[in-house]
Amino acid sequence: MKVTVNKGIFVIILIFSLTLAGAENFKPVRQKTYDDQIYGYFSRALIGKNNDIIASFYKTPLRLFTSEKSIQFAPYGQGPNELTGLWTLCRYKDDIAMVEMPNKIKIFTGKDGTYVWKETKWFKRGPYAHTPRSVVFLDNKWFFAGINFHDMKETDKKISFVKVYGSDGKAIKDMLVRVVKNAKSATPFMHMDHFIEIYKDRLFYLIENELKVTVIDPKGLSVLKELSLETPGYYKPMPQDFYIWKKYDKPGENIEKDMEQWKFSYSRIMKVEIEGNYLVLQFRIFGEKQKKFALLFYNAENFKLEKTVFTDDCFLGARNGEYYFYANGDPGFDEEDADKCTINVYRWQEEK
Amino acid sequence: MKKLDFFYNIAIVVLVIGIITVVIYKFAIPVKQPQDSFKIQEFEKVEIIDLSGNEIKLGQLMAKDGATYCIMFRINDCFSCVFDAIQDLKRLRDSGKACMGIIIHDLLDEVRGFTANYEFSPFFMIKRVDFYEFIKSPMTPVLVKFKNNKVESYRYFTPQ
Repeated sequence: MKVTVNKGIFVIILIFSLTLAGAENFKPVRQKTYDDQIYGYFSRALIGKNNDIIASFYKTPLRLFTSEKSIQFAPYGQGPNELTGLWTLCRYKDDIAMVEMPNKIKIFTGKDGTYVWKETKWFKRGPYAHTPRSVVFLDNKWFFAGINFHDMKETDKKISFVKVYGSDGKAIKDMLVRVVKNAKSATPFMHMDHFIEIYKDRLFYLIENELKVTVIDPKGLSVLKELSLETPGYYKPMPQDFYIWKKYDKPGENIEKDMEQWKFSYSRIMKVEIEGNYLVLQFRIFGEKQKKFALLFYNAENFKLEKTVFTDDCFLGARNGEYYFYANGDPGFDEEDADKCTINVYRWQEEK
Repeated sequence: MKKLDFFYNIAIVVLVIGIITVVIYKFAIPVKQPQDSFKIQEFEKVEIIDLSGNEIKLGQLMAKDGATYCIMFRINDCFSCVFDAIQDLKRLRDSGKACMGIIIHDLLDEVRGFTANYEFSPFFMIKRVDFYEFIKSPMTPVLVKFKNNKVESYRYFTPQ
């Protein structure tokens, strides 16, 4: 009888201690306010090897946030250290790959506290529109995520969402190919963000309007599986016809208004990142007493939703267990809330 | 009789007015170039650079007899438009015409990189300052037909 009671107490204490040991909090570890002013909405960001942040904002020169200061680099221009545009960027070995045009990547390397041009890579592209929104380099291949048009046909138009190039710039394969009924059905995908991320030896592809992940084998260039992610109740899906482009009476005014509505009114996925064993994604949430964003941590092996963080900060990226945020939201959409240029860094820490 | 005289007088006045109008419009008022016209000033001075870095006068590359077709564009122009124009140029080349491409840029390495993926040659580079100095083209890419060192016709390529 006594043994049974002791066993019960032991089990309770064990569960209690395991719960305590396992309890983690998403805690701020440091904060830095920069003497800088950013107005444009957040576009792309990544965390460099020295834990510096490279971030692009709409109509704003590219920024590098080091531990000490914010620096503008790669200004607009056609010189080696300049960019005429930035479609997206990714880590490339120890450097940063900047997609300047759909057929051109400029590699920048860290030097003297900033990044400078190292080399240019050219890609053989097709004649039709290609809008890469995300890129990674894996297994000696470049994977561009974004819509790529295969023809100019008005009906039964062929498009693909992932384009694969070899390291020599030659096109290898178009993946996630689909046929849409007409050009109008294809254009919404041009305005959406597409994400591609590396997890171990595979790739995850997501599109901003669906909580769905496509797992790609980068060696065999095949789709391993497609699965829907657990959708929380506060997720506000985008309407199906949301991005249908229309003719405007006053193009300048109304396009801006629509763009803002598109980016601001629904739970579109804003940022996807792999950190440790987590597939992390952020989207906007709505509600009077709610925070601005939800940060969802899915187990990258089984895609179970394991953790959720609600925050007012805009997620920029993660590295070595640290998560970087622009304080108080998106400097473009959240305006005066995110007026100060402050970076917050968080980390999962065990409860003491 | 008086009626006939009156008719002739009116006819003479109408004819004279007509002749004066034609003369004024044809000779006195200078013909306005359309705003979107392509023009090269001081053709003989225009210098371009081949992919090895050698400077060449544009005039030296013109066909002695017959037309020369040339596409001029920037590397960040609408890609489909450039592709379309180069396809046309390839067809012209295949039918025996003299053809070339000129890229408006300042860095030869960039031009070399961009052109490496095209099955077309020759490509040349014109520096932006020279382009603005000698060439008037409200938009690019433009496919120009030269004959006897003069612009005979041109066509702008726009997204379809």
